[in-house]
Amino acid sequence: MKIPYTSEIREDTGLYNAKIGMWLFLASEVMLFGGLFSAYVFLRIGAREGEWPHGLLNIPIGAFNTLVLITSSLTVALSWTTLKAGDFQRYRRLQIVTLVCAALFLGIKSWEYYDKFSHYEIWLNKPLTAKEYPQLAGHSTEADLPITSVVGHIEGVGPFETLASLQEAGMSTVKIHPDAFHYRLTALQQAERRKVEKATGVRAVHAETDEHANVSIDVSHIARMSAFVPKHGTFFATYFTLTGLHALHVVGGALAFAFILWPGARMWRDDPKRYTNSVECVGLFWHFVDLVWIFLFPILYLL
Amino acid sequence: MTASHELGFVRKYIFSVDHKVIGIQYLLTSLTFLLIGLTLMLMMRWQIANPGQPVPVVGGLLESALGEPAGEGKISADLYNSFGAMHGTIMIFLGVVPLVFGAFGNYLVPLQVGAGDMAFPKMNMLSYWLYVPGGLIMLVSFFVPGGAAQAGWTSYPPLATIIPTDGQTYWLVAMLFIITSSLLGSINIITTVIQLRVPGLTWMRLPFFVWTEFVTAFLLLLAFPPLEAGCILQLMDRLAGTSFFMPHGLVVSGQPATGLSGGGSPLLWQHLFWFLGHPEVYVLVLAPMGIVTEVIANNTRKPIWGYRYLVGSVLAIGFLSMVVWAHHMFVTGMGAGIATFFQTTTTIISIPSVVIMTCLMLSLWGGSIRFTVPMLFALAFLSAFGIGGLTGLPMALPMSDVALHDSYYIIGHFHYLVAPGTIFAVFAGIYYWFPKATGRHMNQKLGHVHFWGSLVCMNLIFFPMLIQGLAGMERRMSDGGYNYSAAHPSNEGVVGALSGTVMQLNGVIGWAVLALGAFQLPFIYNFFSSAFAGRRVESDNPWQATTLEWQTPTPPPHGNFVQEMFVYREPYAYSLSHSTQPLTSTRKSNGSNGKILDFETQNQPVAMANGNPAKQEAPV
Amino acid sequence: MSNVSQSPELAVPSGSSAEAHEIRHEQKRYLAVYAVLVVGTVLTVAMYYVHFEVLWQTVGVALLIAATKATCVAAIFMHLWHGQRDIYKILFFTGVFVAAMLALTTYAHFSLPGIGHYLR
Repeated sequence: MKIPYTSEIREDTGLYNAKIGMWLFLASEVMLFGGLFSAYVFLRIGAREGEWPHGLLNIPIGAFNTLVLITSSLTVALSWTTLKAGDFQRYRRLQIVTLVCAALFLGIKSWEYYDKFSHYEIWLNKPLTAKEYPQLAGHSTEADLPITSVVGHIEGVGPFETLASLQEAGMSTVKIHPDAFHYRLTALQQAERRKVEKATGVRAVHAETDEHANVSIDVSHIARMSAFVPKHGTFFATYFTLTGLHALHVVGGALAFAFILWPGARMWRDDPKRYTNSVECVGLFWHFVDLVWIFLFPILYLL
Repeated sequence: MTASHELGFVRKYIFSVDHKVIGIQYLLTSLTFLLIGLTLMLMMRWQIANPGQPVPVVGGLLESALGEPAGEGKISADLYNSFGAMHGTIMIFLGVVPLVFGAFGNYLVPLQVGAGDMAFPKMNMLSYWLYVPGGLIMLVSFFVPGGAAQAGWTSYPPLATIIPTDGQTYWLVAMLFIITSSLLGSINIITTVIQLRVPGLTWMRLPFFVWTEFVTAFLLLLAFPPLEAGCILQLMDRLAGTSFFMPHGLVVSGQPATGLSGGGSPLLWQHLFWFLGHPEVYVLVLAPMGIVTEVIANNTRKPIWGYRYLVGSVLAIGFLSMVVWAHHMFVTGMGAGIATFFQTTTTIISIPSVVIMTCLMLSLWGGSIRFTVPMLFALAFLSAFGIGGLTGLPMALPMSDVALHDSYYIIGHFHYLVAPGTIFAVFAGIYYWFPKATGRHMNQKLGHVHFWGSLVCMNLIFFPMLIQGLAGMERRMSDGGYNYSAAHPSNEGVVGALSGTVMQLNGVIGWAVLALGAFQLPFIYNFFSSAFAGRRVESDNPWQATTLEWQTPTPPPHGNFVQEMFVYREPYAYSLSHSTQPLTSTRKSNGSNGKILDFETQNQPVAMANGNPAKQEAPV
Repeated sequence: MSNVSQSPELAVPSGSSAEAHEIRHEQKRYLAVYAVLVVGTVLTVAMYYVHFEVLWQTVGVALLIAATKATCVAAIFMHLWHGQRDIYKILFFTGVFVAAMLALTTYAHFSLPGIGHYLR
C-alpha cells in the first residue's frame, strides 16, 4: 500500500506529508512550551516582593551554551543544502559537528546542574548581623541589618545534602563560601542600589571583595538548608523543569539525527529525495529546539 | 493491497498499520472503557441512593479486590471519591475521545477523503499502542496503596497533591500517555485531510463528518499540550517536591503544611487544565455532530440544509472554544472585566452551536425520513443536545453560574450533552457504518429495544439531576446529600435543606442507571452476534449513501479502493431534480439494477444531456 | 555504509549552474543568520551587564532581541520565508492561542486586588 506525497510535493499545498506533520507537531510544541512559559509568567508575577531570586545562574556558561546550540543549528541548515546538492560526505561531516555540539551542550548543562545541586542556601534561625560575621558584610546594604540567609558552596559537602543528613553525619559547623551579595537582590533592588551609588558616589561592597571569604556557621544555628534543587523554590523548580524538558528535546533531536545519519542512511540509496526530506524535517525540529533556548536563556539567566 | 493475506495474525490484527483495523481496535477498547465507567457509576449511584449499605452482588468482590476502602463491601467516602474521579477520567479521556476521534476518525476519514490509508500508518499504530498502556496504568491505579486518584477528573491541586495516594501519580503518567497518543492521532488526521484528498474533493465538497474530525484534530493538537505542561508540573510537585501549585501558608487539616517551599498557585493548574478542558468539550461533541449529519442526510434522502453554514459554524466553534475556558472558573473569583470577557465569548459560542442545530432541524423538513435505528439515535441526539445546550446558557453568566456551578444542575447539564448526546451519536454511527465494516447488518429489533430503553433511562437519570441541582443539592457528596439535608431541618428559608421529594429522586436515578446498564446488553449481544451471523449486506452501498466510503468493497480491503477515485460533486446529492432524469449508462452500472436512484455518489461522473459522462477535468 | 555516497547516479544531481548558484546563495543566507544570532547573544549578555534603570526596560529589550533572533531562525533556517501558505495558517492560529493563553491567564488571575505587585 503506497501512500502518496511521501517524497514528492503535492501541487496545491506545496508540501509533502512529513513536512506538514512536523509543522503540526511543532505547533503542539509551541503550545506545550507556551503553557510552561505561561506558568513562568504567572508564578513570576505572583511572586511576593523580593522573593524571585536573581543572578543565581552562571551567565558566561549559559551564553557559551547558547553559542554552541546556534552553531549546531547552522550546521544542520548547511548540511541540508549540501545534501540537496548531492554531497553526502560533506553532509555527514556537518552532521557530526551537529552531534558534537549537542553532546557539548548536554555536557555543559549537566555540569551546570551538578554545580547547582551542590550549591546551598542556609536559613539561620538566629539572624546574624554583619558585625558578628564581618565576612558577610557584602550580604546586606547596612552593616547592622540582620542577615537571615546565606548562599554559597559548602566546603566538603557534595550534592543533595539536607540539614538532617549533615546532622546525621555528625557535622557541628559548616564552612560556606558565600556568593556575592548582588545574587540576592532583585533587579529592582539592584537598580535602586545603583541609583544610590550614583548619587552618593560611594560604591557598595562588591562581589570580588567577599566572594571567597569562608564563613563558619554552627549547625545548631541553621533553621533550614536546601541545595539548589527543584524543591528549593519556585525559581529553581521552573528552571529545572524548563531546561530539563528542553534538554530532553535536544536528546531526542540528536538521536533522530544519529539514526538517519547511520542506520537510516540506506534510504539515501533508495530514495534520496525522501532522505533529504527527512533531514529537513528533523532539522525543523532542531531549529525549534534552538528557538526555545533563545527565549529560555534570557528569561531564566538574565531577567 | 496485495500483502494483507501474507501478514500473520499479530501484524494483521494486533500491531496493524491499517487504519481500519486500528479504528476497530480503538472502538472495542474504548467501548470497554465506557462499560467500566458505567459500572463505576452504577456502584456510586447505589451508594448515593442507599448510603452506607453494602453493594449488592459485587460487594464482596470489591472488598477482596480493593481492600480496606471497600470494607464490608461498602463504598467508603474515599472510594466514592476515587470512583468519581475515575468515572470522569475514564469516560472522557479513555472512552469518548478515543471513540469519536480514534475509532470513527481513524476508520472513516481516510475512506471519506478517498485515501488508501492515513498519511502516517506507523504513527497511527503507535498512537493506539500509547493509548492502551495509558488506559492500563489508569486501571492499575485502583490497586495501588491508597487507591486511585481521588481529586476528581480535574485533579485540582492542592488537594490532588496532598492526598496520600500514589493513584494520582499514576493518573498523571497515564494522562501523559493519552495526550501523546491523541497528539499523534491528530497530526495524522490533519495531514491526511490536507494531503490525501482525492482529486476533485475540494474543501467545500468534504463530507461534514470530515470537517468535524478536522476541527477536532486541531483542538486536540493545540489544547492538549497546555494540559501536558500542567501534568508535567504536577508530577514535579508530587515527585520532586516543587511547589508549582502549592501556595504559601497552606494549611492541611488544621496543620500548616511542612516541607513546602510554597510560592505556587492552585489557580495556575486550573487555567492550564481548562485551557484543554473547554476545547475538550467540543472534542466530545463536534465529531458526533458530524456523524449525525451523515446519518440525517442519508435517512432524509435530501441534501443537508446549509452545508456552508455548518462548515462555518464548526470552524467558528473551533476558534472560539479556545478562548472561553475561564467560565469553568467563575466560582474561583476573577475581576469583573475579565469575567465579562469570558461571559461574552461563552455566549457568542452558543450561536454557531445553534446554527448547526438549526441546519440539522431544517434538513429534516420535507424529507422522506426513514426511521432506521441509526436515524432514531440521531434524532435523539438532536433533542438531547438541545436540552444540554439550553441548560448550559445559565452557566455562561457569572451571576447564575456561581449559584449553579457546584450543584447537580451542572452534572445534569453536561451529561445531557455527552451521554444522550455524544453516546447516542456514537451508537447512530455504529449502527450506520456497521454494514460497511463487517458486511453484515445489525439486528433491527434488538436495536429498537436498545434505543427506546436507553432513551427513557437517560432522561430518567439526567432530568431529575437538573431538578435536584436547582433545589440546592451539592455535587460530590458521597452520601447523596443525606447528612447535608438532615443537618438542616426542612424549614422555610433554611439554605441546604432538601425536601423529601428531591432526596427520593436519588432512588429513581439509581434504578434508572441500573436499567440503562441492562439495556446495553441487547446492544452488546447484537454487536457480536451480528458481526459473525448477521444478515449479509446485499450491496456495497446498503444505505444508498453518497459519500466515498461506500464505494469500496465490503469490508474494505487493506488499501481501501480498488479503482482510482475522482470526485465530481458535493457530498449530499440526494433527491436532486436531475437525478430523476432518464438513466445514463454510468448510473445503471452503479449497482442499481435498473431502479431509479434518488442519489448520486460523489465519484459519479457528471452526466451530460446526451447521456455520456462529461469529460470534466477534476479540479485539484 | 561508505559506499552509500559513492553511487553518483543516485545522488541528487546538483543540476544546472543556476541551481548550484541558488544553493550557494542559500548557504550565504544561513551564515548571515548565524552572524545575527551570535551578535544577538552577545548583545543580550551585554545588556545584562549594562543595566537599565527600570525592570520593564530590561525585560523589553531582552525579549525584543530574543524575538528578533527567533524570527530569523523561523524565517530562514526553518524556510518560512519561502511562502508556505498552509503552514502560515496553522502557525497563525497557534500564535493567537498562545497569546490568548498567556494574556488571559495572567489577566484573569491578576485582575483581583492584592495579587501581583509587578502589574501595578
